[in-house]
Amino acid sequence: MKNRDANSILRVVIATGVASVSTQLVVIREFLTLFSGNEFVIAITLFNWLILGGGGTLLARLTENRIVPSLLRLAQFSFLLCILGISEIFIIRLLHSRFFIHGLEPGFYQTFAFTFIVSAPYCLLVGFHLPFSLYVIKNVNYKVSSVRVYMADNIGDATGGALFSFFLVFIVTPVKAVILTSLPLYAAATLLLLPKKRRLILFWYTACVASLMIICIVFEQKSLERKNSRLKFYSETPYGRVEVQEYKGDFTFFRDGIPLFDKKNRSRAEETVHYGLSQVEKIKSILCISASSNMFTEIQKYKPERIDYLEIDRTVSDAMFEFSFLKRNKNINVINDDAVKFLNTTDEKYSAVIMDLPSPDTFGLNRFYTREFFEKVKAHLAKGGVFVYSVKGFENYPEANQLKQLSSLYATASSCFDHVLVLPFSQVFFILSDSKPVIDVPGRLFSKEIETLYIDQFYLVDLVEFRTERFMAWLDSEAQINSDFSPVIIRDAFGHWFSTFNSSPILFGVIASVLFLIYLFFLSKAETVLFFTGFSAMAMQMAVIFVFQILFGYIYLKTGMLITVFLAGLFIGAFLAEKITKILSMKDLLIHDTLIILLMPLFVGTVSIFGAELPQLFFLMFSMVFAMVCGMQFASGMKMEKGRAGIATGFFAADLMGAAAGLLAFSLVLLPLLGIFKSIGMLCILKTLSLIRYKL
Amino acid sequence: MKPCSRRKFLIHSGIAFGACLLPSAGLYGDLFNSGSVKGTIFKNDAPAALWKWAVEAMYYHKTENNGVVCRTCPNACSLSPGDRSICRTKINIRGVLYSIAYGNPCSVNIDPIEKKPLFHYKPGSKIFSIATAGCNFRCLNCQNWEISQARPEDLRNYDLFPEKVAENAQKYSSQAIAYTYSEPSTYYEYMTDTATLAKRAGLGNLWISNGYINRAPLEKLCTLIDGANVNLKSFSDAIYQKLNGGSLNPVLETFKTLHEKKVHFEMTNLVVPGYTDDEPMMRKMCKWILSTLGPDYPLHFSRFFPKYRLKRLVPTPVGVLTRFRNIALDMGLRYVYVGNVPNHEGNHTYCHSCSRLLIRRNGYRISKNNLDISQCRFCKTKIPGVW
Repeated sequence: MKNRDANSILRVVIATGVASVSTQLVVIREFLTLFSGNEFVIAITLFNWLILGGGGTLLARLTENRIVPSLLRLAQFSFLLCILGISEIFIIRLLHSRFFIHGLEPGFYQTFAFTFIVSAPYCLLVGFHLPFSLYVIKNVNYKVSSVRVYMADNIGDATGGALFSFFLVFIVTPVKAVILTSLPLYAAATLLLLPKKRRLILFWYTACVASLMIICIVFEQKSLERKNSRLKFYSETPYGRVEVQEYKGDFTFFRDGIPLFDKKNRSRAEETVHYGLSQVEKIKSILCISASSNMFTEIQKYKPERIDYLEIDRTVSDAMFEFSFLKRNKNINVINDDAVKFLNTTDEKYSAVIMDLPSPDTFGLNRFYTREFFEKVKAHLAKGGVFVYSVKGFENYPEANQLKQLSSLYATASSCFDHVLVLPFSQVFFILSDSKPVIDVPGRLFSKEIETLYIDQFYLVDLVEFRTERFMAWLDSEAQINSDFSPVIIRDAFGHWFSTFNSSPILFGVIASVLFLIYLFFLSKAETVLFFTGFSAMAMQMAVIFVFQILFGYIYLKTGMLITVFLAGLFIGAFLAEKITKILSMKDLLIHDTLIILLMPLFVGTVSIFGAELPQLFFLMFSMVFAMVCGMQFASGMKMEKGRAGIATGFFAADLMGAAAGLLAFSLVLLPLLGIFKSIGMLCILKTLSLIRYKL
Repeated sequence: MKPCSRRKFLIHSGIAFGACLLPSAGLYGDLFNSGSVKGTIFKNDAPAALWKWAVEAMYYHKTENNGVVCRTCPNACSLSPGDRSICRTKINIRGVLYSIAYGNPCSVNIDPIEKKPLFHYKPGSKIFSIATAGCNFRCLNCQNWEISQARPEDLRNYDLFPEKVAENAQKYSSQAIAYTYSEPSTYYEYMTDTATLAKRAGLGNLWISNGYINRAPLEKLCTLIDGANVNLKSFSDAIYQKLNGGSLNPVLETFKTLHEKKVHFEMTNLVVPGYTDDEPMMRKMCKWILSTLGPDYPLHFSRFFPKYRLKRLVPTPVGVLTRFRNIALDMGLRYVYVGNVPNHEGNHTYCHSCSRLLIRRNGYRISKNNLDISQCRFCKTKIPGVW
């Protein structure tokens, strides 16, 4: 009987992992469409999740003698978790429209406050649920090891992550994904109650969960519609959300909640295409890395033999043609691939490469604005070919951080190409070539007998010369070159984003640092070790993903695999610790720490020496091994404390808090300031310094 | 199970309380739907010493304890010593109000007049345009937020005194100087001194503004300027507060004063989807223009593009702009234009009497001009404006 109950509880723990991880992924995607999609928003969303989870875990410890750890309570908390999870997306959409005025992009603190408050109920309960399960299991059968609960949680997390990333994201909407992954939790909670003959409670919870599911499914589409708009197309893809909205007769293409372009705007297409193509004598083939509306119509004026349209997301390219944002033609060849990956594999030479991607405001986009990428593009340009890209510009005055970013982009472009022409408008266009581009674009178009609407009418050569001269005088000649592993422009992008809201992250940084220091001060030796392991694990997981994407491009499934392998590694490590190791002491934790510290320079050294020649398997293996050591250390720590529930709770909390601190420190401070390799170096130093705690 | 000790409880409560402080930081500023984005004065934000070319403000009065009240615009900032005004350009130093936006423009450009937009002021002319930091509004869609929402001392400025401005305008063959981009009322002293010299040098002066200015400074300004484009951002006080941090009535008063003083002006109405694309409101606005100012002042319906903090809105559908133009013309306004839409028939000027095409605008280029000095070449009707 005791064993049967214990197994039922473990099933609940696994199901909670499945539901919570997929809900977390769905919620993060939702926040990224409602708020700015940069690393700050990703970091604070995850930070909130981890810190609130940690808070929930601490709450379980604080209430351990107040709430009776019974099966009934566990079942009730599980049902509540189902209800909160399923309604989470609706609550977010509803409150967002109540709290922020229509069309507003809130700043950092507003985003932080909103995401914290809205995530709090679910995250606190998720954090509470795991240690509470441990209390219940110990109450039912004190012989069950805490490590088994930790392992069950890892299995659930890995399964939930894999289920969403490899399966659900391709076939269902966010709300349906949460519902589907909540069903096992509902079933597990039901199984807890069935033998106890609590049918009335079960009935009410079932009625509540079922009606909520129906409501959410029915109104999901409706909740996406904007004020006075009609949703003409909607799809969730592995890369984000794609929408086409109709507003009073005009169609606008949305990507991750941001209106990218409308059908009637020809000026952007003309600028993107003609500033570059007019410079080339004879156009044969063109590579377009992503595209905005009407671009191909403008390109066809040069009568190219072939246009390779590179778009990573097939849904985007399909929708672009379906809603006539782009015109189909026989000479257009659609390639759904990542640009880095494509350029690594193709031998094609192009007359021109036009890159029409969003500005480099995130690490993900930075990959396309580095010296390494520019060199890749150059290697695929025919003689006299041109590479054109543009970033967010300014009307009459560039903000200081933006100017730094533009200076770095100019320095980076100049380090790869003999000539760089910059046209600084509300978009700043960079025309890179080894032949000298001319500023008199209308003159070039006239000689090629190409008619335009916007450039002909609005491009006044003398005024453009005046503006360009002034802009060039502003540029910093000492600006750093932007590279894959040292993304200097991201620091400037963050600064620019904060200046948009006249705010600074310093207040947040100071409060968060003080709280973490207070928290650290009260941790036991073992908890401190686990805090810094959580810190390193989160940071290294991010570093591995970034490096992988830099070297091989953004390959959705493989990135998902890296995360899944990491979670599985935690489980295997814990399993090994449970099965192999017997008597444990702080020395064992020190051995694990030493391994973690050694693995970091090993990663940096291997990547520095072999770079893209490394097999992709290396990254999977590294993730697995690193996670295994972390998982093993966590389980060993719990075994060392003989699985006492209260102590284990402290361990869970330390791990989550450490992960939250690692996430913030690595993605928002270390990476933008030091680049990837030096940041890992700092991690290594920090983890080594944390060893002092063994002596104190 | 061990009960929680009092000490541990206090520690954890402290951390939880601190954690709650983190998101509460977000409650500062314009968080959540407060209904107004109106700016506030900056307490103790004035530089310790006067910054560069500061001059005493023209319109203010002194209050007790060395306090001052600025009277340039309806914000009427009441500043104690060391405080800075909402527009960021006025500071109180020991009971004297100074403008620190004098002789230091951060943006200097040469623009076609059509960019302002001023369609009834010397078409095709080139305008020497200057701006300093600062604005008395907080528009969520500001396209010049880099300068309008900044302090003068935080920007890269040119040293350009009024004499130099006039000199440069002539050097670049500009017909006029435009005080533009940010809000020129916030650098009122610099603007009026420059305008005085420019007038003497035979140059025109153009005021491109949100119209949020008090009557006395405006009346003085009217003696110096030759044309103006004033934003009529919406015809709803609630929207003015929500999107711009201002109010409607003072702007309407500005139009009345300009009309009384016989200054040529044009009005720009940015049509923001979900806010100012409301047809009944637009009709109300046109009715007010007709009854108060008459049919002759040009009105520009301008297309909105997602900008600054209002990034999640769609661009204004062109069909809405066309419809607004047609309605305004039907209501009796004589010159109604559509802005930010290339190749739209609303870019051109038609005679209000014979409906023939007077000025064909292809963007910033004038491809046809059928004006005979200031008259329609076909029916000889006098066309309002400065030609």
